[in-house]
Amino acid sequence: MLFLGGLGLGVAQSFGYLPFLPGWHWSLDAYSGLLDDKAVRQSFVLTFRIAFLSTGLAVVVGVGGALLIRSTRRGKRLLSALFQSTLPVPHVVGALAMLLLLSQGGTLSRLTNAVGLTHGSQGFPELAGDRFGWAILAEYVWKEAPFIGVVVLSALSSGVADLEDAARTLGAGPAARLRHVVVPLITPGVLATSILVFAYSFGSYEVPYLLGRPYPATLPVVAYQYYTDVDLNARPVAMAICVVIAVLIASLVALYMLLAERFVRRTA
Amino acid sequence: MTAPGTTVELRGLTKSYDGTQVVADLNLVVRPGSLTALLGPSGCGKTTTLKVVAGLLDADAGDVLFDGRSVLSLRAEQRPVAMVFQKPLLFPHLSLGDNVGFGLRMRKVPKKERVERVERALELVRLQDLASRRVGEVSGGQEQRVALARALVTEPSVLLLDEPFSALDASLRGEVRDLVRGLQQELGVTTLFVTHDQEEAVAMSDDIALLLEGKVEQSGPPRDFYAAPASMKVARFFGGRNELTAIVREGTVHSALGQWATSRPDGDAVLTVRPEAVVLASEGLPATVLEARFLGTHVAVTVELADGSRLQLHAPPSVTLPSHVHLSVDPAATTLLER
Amino acid sequence: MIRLLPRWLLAIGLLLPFVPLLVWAGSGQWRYPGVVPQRGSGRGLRLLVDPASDIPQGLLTSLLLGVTVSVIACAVGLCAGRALGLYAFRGKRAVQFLLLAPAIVPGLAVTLGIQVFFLRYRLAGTLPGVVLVQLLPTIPYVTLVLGSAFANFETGYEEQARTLGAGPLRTFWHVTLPVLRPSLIVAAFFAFLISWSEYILTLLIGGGTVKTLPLLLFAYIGSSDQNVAAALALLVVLPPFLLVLVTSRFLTGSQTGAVGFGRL
Repeated sequence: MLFLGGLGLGVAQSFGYLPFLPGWHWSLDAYSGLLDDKAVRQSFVLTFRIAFLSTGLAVVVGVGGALLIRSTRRGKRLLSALFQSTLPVPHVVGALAMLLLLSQGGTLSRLTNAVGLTHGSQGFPELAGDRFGWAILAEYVWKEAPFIGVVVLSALSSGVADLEDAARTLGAGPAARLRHVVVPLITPGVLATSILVFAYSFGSYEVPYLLGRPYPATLPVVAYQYYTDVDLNARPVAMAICVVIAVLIASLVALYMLLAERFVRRTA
Repeated sequence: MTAPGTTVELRGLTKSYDGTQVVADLNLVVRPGSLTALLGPSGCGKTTTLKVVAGLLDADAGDVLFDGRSVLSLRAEQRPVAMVFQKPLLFPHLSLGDNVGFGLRMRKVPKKERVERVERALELVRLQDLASRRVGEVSGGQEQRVALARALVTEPSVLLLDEPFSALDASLRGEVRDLVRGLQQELGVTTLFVTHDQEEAVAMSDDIALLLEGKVEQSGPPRDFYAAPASMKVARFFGGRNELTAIVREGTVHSALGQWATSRPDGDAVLTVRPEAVVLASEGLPATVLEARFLGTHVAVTVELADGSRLQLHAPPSVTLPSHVHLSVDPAATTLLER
Repeated sequence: MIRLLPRWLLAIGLLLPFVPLLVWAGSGQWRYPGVVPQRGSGRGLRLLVDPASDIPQGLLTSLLLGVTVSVIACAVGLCAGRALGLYAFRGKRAVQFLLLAPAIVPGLAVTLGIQVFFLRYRLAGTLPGVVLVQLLPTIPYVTLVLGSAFANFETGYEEQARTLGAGPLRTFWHVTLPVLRPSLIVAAFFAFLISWSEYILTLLIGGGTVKTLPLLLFAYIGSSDQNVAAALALLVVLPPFLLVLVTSRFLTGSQTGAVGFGRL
């Protein structure tokens, strides 16, 4: 209810509806404004880039990590516990950790300075508050790769080892087993979770706010900037951005449901 | 699809898990083209043995030879074996036909040939119309038949079956069992078959190897296990035998059933005899009837002998039993075992 | 050695970000380019329990919010999840979509639209207002988890209890709840964590009056007081870690439950 109401109101406000304010009128200005606004256009590019890259990297690291853990003998429990240790960490904390680690005055910079790789804080590459969003990317991958990994590990629980045995007796070597048995079995789960990761990294506010720069910023940050702008006429633009985010993510959710259903059917 | 008969030999196979010895110095020769059952109670090491033959497990000691050549250096995927497991273990992301073709794909068989061979294999298990179906859309019995086709399509030298019928309903079990036996004989592939069900082992196999505590207790054709159990353990595993105390003195057995000559050394012994070998007679051993239960094909009779020991026998269903009877037992049908 | 290298890299990559957090929390002075702090100090950690700071108050607010949101979400989720899991009805998929969407669609995108109404009805800046807005993502999530639990629920248990003389309430208390306990724990756990970690919704509706720990952490990060920020961050991660330890045996194997980590 609240969700639909909120969304509906957001849509209404994006078309110029400004309740409790005299002199509002319906218009499409906000949407056409989106296209004209350079900040918004750059923000689109940045947001998509960050969301795609962090999802892609999180999939690679998460699947790779899960497969590594699976093939580990000694210290398996410890590695697996470590792997999952970032899961309950709130993103705000993750963002602070990345800030302290990666900024020019951060721990990594001090270490490379000490061993002589870089010179001084200015000599260290700008990783936080930069145009590319390295620190944002690092935070998302650090948090979300284990999330994907956990789903992969649960998809690879007991039964898959038996299937691999069956494949071995049919002549499948290690590479063939990975390609023809393991990968097909984890693909639906990985796809489904990577949609969640994409949705999060696309729409989260706190991480890009803390680790990015005010301009160009990601879409949620821009939306909040416009929303809190002293000029109330910027509000419809903020709403329009929100509607775009919501519609995009909602269609991803629909895709997720399709995938999740297939995933459940296969593992049942 | 005929595979040349391969001899399988296991020499001194030993395997432990966490300090417990599961297979202990196991020796066995499987005749080429035969279906040999590895029979034993659960936990006797039969599945472990099978997995060692398949290459899925490494033995701690011993050797596995196919036609006199050791295969230990070959990994599971390189051995000329195929295995059917307790569960069908079909790959859920592939169609039934692609499941059958999996082994051929691994061996890089060209697609056209693959399709033909898959079709033939599915025909063998009488599922030719289901190639495009998905896993989960067919019954458990059908899935197990697909697993069988998947194993046979690669033309293995050795077929390994790990209780492939145990997960099936009783009605399906008989059907799939007949199919496996028929195909095995038709193809002449040496088959090692794990089961805990002695009836199944007797009905299906050319030879049985009874595994107890990681060792082959007795091996040979099924009838030997009834006619001449090698030990008390074997006799008890197959069950249904009468056990009577006996003493051997100077080449003669003394028991409640009488006395006769034997080649066994002196000492205490157990005389075992199957109920079918004890027959009612007009004269002979006197006995008192304690209980008679009609079982359709025969009457199960419990009698007490003069010395107080009890005996089970099977009487014809039409017989009317007096309370005192006479019995006759052929000494050749009895087995004298160490206590 | 070579074979272990990727495992070490993975472990280091995971742990490295925690290191500056821990060191900063206990350092007094740590000027560039020192690899270790010049001076250690308990100032940051002391401030966590200093009644004069706003942190103890923030901890209380966060805990209160988390527990309230978790309890309400579970109560609503039990009813809705039962309807969703046990009964088939027309438009079930649509309902599932409507539930999943708010659990995944970023809160900001939705909340900006309703903030004006929270302002209008004087809910903005109040604790109930923040509870209400935090229920937005949590109720759908809890409903989904409990819905899938109910889908596997054997109603025979309830019928059995009724034939043994238990009334509806007692059946619910003694039979339904215990059977659903693992799922309920997972749901409550995530509802609490979502509330505990929430920043933007609290900021928009709380308007700076309802100061939860994430809001305070934001403020300290903004003020560049690294010692306090790091110490506060440790306080923020501690309860989630403890909760994971306590609930881990319910978390493993809960496919629907694990989705919750994607929302944190």
